[in-house]
Amino acid sequence: MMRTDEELVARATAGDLEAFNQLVTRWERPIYALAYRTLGREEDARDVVQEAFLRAYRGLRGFKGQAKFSSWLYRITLNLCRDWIRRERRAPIVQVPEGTDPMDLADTHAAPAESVEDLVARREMSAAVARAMAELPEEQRTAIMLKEYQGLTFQEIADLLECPLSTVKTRLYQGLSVLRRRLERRQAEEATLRRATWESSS
Amino acid sequence: MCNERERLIGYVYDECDDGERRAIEAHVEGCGTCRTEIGGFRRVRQDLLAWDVPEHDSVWRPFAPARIAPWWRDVPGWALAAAAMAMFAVGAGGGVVTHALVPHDAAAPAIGSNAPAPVEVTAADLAAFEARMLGLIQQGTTASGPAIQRVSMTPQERADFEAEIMQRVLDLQTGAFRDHDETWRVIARDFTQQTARVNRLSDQVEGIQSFMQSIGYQGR
Repeated sequence: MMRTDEELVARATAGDLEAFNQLVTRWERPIYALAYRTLGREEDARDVVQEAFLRAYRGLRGFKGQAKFSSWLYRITLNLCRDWIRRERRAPIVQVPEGTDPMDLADTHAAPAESVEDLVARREMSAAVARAMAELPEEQRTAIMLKEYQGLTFQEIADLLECPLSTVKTRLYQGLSVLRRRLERRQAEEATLRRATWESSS
Repeated sequence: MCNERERLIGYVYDECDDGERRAIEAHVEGCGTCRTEIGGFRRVRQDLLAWDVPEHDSVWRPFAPARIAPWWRDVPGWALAAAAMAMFAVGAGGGVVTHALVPHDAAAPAIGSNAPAPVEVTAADLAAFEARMLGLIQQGTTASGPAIQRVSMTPQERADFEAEIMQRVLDLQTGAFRDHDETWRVIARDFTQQTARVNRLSDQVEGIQSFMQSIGYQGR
């Protein structure tokens, strides 16, 4: 029977290390995804995830269950990411695959049903989204990441970020509006480029 | 509705109650701007799905129960004291063994022969024994034959172990006698010193035994 987070937290607090290992196994991927999307670099994300779980372990006794364990972990991770960015004095870095060889991609990442063209298009869209997200103000970016990629409710985001519900909705609205404009512009530019290429070749 | 577009966010994410959903749907039917807005948000959400996270190995090394204290911290004090006495006995028994190894006036029993007779050990015997052992060890380490090798413990572990035993014995003694007079403290201190001496002797005996094994000595 799968134990709930609360049960595992109680056991881990009582000294059951295996219970904490189970919590890590359960939450490592979402936490890594949040750290990676916030920082944009794999090695930074790995360091932050390590540190986040260490802090969580050390702070277990202070966690009274006033929030969900996952929300608590997200908060630790976001704080660490914020410190990390401040310490590095830089904006989040976006890893954009440059000079991507489609055949390499096809060898390593392609799903059987996905063509190389689709794969390249998806990777380009991924990079475009990452770039657009990196340009957003931090509050909007965080709200969108927690909503879109971590699947939190408006209320959970408000609790985690300690701001009113209406603020969360405003940040999401503004962030999505900016993303929409940027991604639509990119798509328009790509369409223009494709048309120009097609006209010059024909 | 068009002036409160944040409300559309609840609709886009399906986080609004039925009443609000119906109100928004009714408004959107007649408002092209809001309809376009909602459509745009849905497309952006679709695009956001493209942002993937690279595959990665687990960054977490699972906790394993770590032994923070040396294993002998788990051993009761009385057992450590008993171990110290046992080492003393081994040391004393080793004295018999050395009779077979070193030149001696009296005939000594060979290793593996009859059990040694009980030996009375005085302070003078111990001092002589210690001097003899030191000489043998020195001889063994400077000889051309194989050097003495300790396989059971590193020097640091041995030193830690001895220190631990002495500390435990001292703790026992001083703890038990804390409220008694100075005489007991002196006894406890002397006992500690004797324990340390016994440990040293045992150490030397073990070294000699290793040396004997290393040169293949089987007894006379």
